Amino acid sequence: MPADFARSLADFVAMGGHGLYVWLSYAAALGVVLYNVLSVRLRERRYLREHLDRERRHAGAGVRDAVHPARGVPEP
Amino acid sequence: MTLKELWHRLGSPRWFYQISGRLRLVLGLTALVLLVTGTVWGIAFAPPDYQQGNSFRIIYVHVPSALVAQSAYLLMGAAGVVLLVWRMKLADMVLAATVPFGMSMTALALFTGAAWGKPTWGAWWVWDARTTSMLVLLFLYMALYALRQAIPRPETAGRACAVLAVVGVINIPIIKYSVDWWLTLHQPATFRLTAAPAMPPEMWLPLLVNALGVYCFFGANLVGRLRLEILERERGTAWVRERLAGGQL
Amino acid sequence: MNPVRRNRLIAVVFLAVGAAVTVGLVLVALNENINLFYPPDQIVSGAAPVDTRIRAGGMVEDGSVRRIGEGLTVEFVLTDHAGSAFPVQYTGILPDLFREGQGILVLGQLGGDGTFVAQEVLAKHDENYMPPELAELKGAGAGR
Repeated sequence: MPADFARSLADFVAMGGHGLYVWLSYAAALGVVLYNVLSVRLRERRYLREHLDRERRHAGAGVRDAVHPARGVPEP
Repeated sequence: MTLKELWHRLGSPRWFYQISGRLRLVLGLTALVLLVTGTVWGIAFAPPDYQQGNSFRIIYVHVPSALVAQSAYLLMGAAGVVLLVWRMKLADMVLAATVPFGMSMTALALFTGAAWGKPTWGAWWVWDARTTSMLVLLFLYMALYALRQAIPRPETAGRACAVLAVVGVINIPIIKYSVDWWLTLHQPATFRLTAAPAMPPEMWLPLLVNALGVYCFFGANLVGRLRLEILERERGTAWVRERLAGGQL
Repeated sequence: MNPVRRNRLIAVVFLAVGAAVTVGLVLVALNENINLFYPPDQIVSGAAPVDTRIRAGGMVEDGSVRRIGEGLTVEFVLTDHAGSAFPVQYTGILPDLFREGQGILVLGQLGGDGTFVAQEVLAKHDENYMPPELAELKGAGAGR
């Protein structure tokens, strides 16, 4: 810690009276970073879930066809 | 690989998907290391300013976000030209994938500017040429977002966005030179290509680290969003099903 | 490049140049209005309107800051260090950065006698940043 902040954590938090502005800015930065990371992560998870559901339905259809060969061409 | 081959390969989203996974990881990790270093350095170890005291530390958020917001827009302008002239699919995806990132960074630059303006100038907001042109940048990002939502046909939406992106590039030099062309409350640039920075190294080094970090973050985020765009546009194709067979993206 | 793409490229170039020229002309036409404030020479020469709410800016002249009476009223002179200067009167709390030599923006009315009555004072920071210790050294070097 530099000389200013060496004395106490309170000094560090207060930022010489400008704590509100400084910490608000850094909090907003963290928020923007998290928004960008999480929005991609959530979209990825949703995509994967939808994809796996679809694959399972395809596979299910395949099994049903195997069990009931008499049905012929499965309906869409 | 020659440049021409690379150009043609860029036209193939499948190829881009295959090579980009590791690129994203490397960029993401680099961004994490740089941003943590630069931020801790800037907030706790860099000296305060002789006039502004500790509110000066907002610079370590404000300048990198403003820089990357403008660079992202320039990238969209370039992608717009490529889309309009060469009709490259990847260019349309870049155009779509950059908007949320650029919009959030512009908003961050404006917000931190206000939080810095209040203790320094004495006002949260002043309608000078720099702040106003930055606000126009935010509106351009919003317009690009809305335009894509408003046009149902993806191809038409892509071209409309490309035209707006190209036209909007004119705002970037206006933002940059606003402080030189007009009388503004915002001060002129501290960093110039032709002169030493008006700031000692213990102040600008953390800023440089954060700026590099935010560019790496932009790269990682852009690649991540591009991969999603590719997956969504190529949903159900043989290569996507094969690729995702293991249950992972 | 094939002719189709060349034509598209030409169209895009026209689009970009057209937009740039349009915006450029608008900005040149608006030039004076985009300035946020009147500098001292325009206040002194009478280019700035009298008795209307305007913004003016300049540097606080060394030794010009005076308290008037018991209250919060102060008087100071804003100069451009190039021969033009005008007096300002203000009642209220000055920003932290207000000091002699500092760039300042004032919001208020220019009176007929050439005195500017300000309702709001904003501090303008310059592009130079330095740690306090360095500033002290520089101050000492300049013989302050």
